[in-house]
Amino acid sequence: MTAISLPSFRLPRLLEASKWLTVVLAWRVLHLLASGTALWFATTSATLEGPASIAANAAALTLVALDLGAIVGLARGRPVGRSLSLAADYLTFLGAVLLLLHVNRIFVGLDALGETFGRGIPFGIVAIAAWVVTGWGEQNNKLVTTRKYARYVAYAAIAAMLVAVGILPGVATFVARTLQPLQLGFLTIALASGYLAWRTFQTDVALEMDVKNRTTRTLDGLLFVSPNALGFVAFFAGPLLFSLFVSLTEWDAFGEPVFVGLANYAQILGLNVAVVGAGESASAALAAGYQPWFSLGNVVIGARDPLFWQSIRNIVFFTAFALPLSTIPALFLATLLNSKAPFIKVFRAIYFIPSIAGVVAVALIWRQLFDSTIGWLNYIISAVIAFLNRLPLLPQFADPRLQWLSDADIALFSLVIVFSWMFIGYNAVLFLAGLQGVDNTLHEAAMLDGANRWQRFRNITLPALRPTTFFVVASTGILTLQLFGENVVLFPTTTPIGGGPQNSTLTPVVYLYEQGFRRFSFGYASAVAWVLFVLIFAFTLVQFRRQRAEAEG
Amino acid sequence: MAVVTGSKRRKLVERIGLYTALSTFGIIMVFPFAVVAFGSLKEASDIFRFPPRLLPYSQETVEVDGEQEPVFLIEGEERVLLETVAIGVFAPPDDLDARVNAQVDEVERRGGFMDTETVVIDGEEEPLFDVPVDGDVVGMVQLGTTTEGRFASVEDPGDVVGANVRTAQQVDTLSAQTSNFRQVVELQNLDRSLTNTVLVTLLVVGGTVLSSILGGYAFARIEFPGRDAMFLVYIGSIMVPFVILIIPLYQLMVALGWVNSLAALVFPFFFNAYGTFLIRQFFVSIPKDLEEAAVIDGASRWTTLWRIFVPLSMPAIATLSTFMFLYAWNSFIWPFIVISAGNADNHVLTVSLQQLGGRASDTPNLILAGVVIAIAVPVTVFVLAQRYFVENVATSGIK
Repeated sequence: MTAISLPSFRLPRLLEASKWLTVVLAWRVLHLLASGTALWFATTSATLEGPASIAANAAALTLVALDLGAIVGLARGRPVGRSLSLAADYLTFLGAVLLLLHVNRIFVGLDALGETFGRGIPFGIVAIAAWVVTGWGEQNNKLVTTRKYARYVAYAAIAAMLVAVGILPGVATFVARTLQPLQLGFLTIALASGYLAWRTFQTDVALEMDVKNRTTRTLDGLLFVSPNALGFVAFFAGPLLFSLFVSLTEWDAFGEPVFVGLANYAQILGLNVAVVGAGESASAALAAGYQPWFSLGNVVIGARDPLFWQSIRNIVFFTAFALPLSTIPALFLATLLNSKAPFIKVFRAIYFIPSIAGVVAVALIWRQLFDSTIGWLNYIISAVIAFLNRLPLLPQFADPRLQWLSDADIALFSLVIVFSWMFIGYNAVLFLAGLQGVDNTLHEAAMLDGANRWQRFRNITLPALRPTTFFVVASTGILTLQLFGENVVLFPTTTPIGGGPQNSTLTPVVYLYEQGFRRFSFGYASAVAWVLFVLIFAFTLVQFRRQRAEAEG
Repeated sequence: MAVVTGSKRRKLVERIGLYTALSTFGIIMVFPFAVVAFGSLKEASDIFRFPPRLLPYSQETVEVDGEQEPVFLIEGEERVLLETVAIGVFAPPDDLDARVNAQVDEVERRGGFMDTETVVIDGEEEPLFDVPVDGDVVGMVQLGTTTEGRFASVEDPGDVVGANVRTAQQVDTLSAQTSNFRQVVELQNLDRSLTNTVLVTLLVVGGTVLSSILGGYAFARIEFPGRDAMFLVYIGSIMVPFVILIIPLYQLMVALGWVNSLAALVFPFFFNAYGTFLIRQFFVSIPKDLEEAAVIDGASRWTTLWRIFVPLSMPAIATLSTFMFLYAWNSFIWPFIVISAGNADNHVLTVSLQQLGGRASDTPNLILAGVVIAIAVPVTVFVLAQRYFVENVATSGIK
């Protein structure tokens, strides 16, 4: 394949380094004034709220801090002044570009692209095909002309694709929108700070300031990491912290968040144990505000939020079945697949397919199989029972005609079947990768010592597979504890959606969705999410500890 | 010699056992897909038939008086259904087991409608009916009703017999209803969902690969203070389940005005800790001599990255691409939350399918056709790029 080539161009270097640094210092003072104004605006503005306000404040505060540091550093001739100045200009540049795209509705414009994109797909396929041809015979230098023409075809196809999806009107709209005052302002800021950052980054400026290699390396590293790191802050770390804050508030969709401390967690986790006296009802025995969740003999456990605890009970039950059912057969399958017999890769591929089909498709497939009157599952069970009943010496079995999806006692187990079917093959391939790493000499030595197959599996394979087993169990457990998609597809009409008959398949994520997006109690839903996170974390930690302990003992 | 044949036989037995076990599991994995593939080609009436059949059939028809009429097989003769008539099940009051079927309109209440004669059976008063039996008229009580079809012979239209419609055997031929696909595309706007999904998937894969290459290079090759701590935070973030981000990320989408827009499915997923980790691990394994030669020639970091690291890392990039492809194509919970309420033009396949499943439960054949459309692309890509899928799984296990 052809190497990726990038266009190279050079901007003019204005001024010599020492004069440039004076310009930068002056610019920094201006920039500080501007970002200070922005900070004042962000803190006092009433139109900004929620995440937008937090982001604006954080951005303005960062710029103000960087500017202050840069001014001090530059005035004293320290390299750190240049570094901070670079950071401030780079961030301003990025911010201005993103704001320009945002106010020009480029990001949301993706929806319009969705409409026209279909027309470009045939050209895209031609481009890909032509690109594949450009790689033919490259090693032994054959088919030179074919490759040359293929490259032209690829370029033409890409151009045709862009025209077909409407790049020309798109660019025209973008230009027209950019010629408005606000947009032109952003464009000017972007160009100015972009050039400032680039010019300050040049080696002559670095030499002038006597910048150490280490600093240059740090700047390089941060520059390369920056797209990823900024995205990480905006879409992961920031939201994570925000979620923690939201979980401490009471917040519906329309009002302002009201800080309530740990009240959400108290409501979620509140349990009360009582002994039911004779002739007393369970709810009467419990303290006020608690409803019965679970009873054992005459001891009743009440919860302030029985639905949440119901979801916990469901998910524990689900995990207790789905985890062994999707890992133990997988290990068995992997030992079968770990052989050099012909066609073994075909079987590996077949086992893998359910996991690539996706939750929604898989759940819809099983919904058809689960149908209690015309579904294959009940049909096969009936056939097997009819066959058994024809055999002599066996008691007669009754045909159960299970109501897979409407019987509250079975619904959760139906989900276990769907989940396990989907992930057995995936886990088998994981185990297979682990098995192929097991040292064969140990097996041969044990065989010579007369160890049978089971002994070898138990004493050599299993210990060697321990890291793989940990990974499989931990990652599958994380998936089971977040069960959601299967529920929603199989039980689209229950309330809460995905809750199943009599809430028998209500899982924590289903409950979170109900609280957050049906009742719009964002604070409460966030607290549910954090409790679930702690549960998942504890589960992983226990698995990790167990693996450690086994490895040492 | 005997030892050799013994071990050969043992090997053969082992092989047979191996393939039997593999095939059994294989059938469990493949059978549901076979049900989907054939089910997507069935007529609605065929898919509701009991007992279920795997292959798609449709009922044969003959032309009667210019109309196409379905053909049934009754006692070995091909017949068409003329009409269904209401049938009463009657029995004499003194012998309730001697049941007789008679058309309801051939039976009259004894004594007329107003003053019907009655008999008492099990303490209940039951009306008496005059039922014609073999030319006689017998007074009977009604036990129940059923329906019966009047079937005329195809060859001789005057030859009419009665038979139960529900259990009448249809004359079927194999036939594939390819129009199901067109119907489901129209019903649920699936063509638009498909292009949206392709667009979102391409952008997510491209964006992730790009940001991961840049980040992975910095983590692998540029030493700077705080790099290792930062990398640890990245790895740690892989452990954090997505559900915890749902609420705050939704709020962020509200603030950006991206709710119900494809932008919400694309841009937040450009920055992927797992991808950065994967690419970083591959870059670390590339020998330093290769880039040193380039650096001596005066190549910048940027040039080294694109000219040396990226071409050498195509397997890792392909692995990451397959991973992100599956992730973007199949992701459900986030699209379900952020775009399912609004404009159906912005739906992706998973959301469309979920809604289709909710509203088309009376036409499961169309649902299955939708499933086929949704899984066709990932399965094709999987068949073409199997190596990278399996590699992705294997590497994720080794970490």
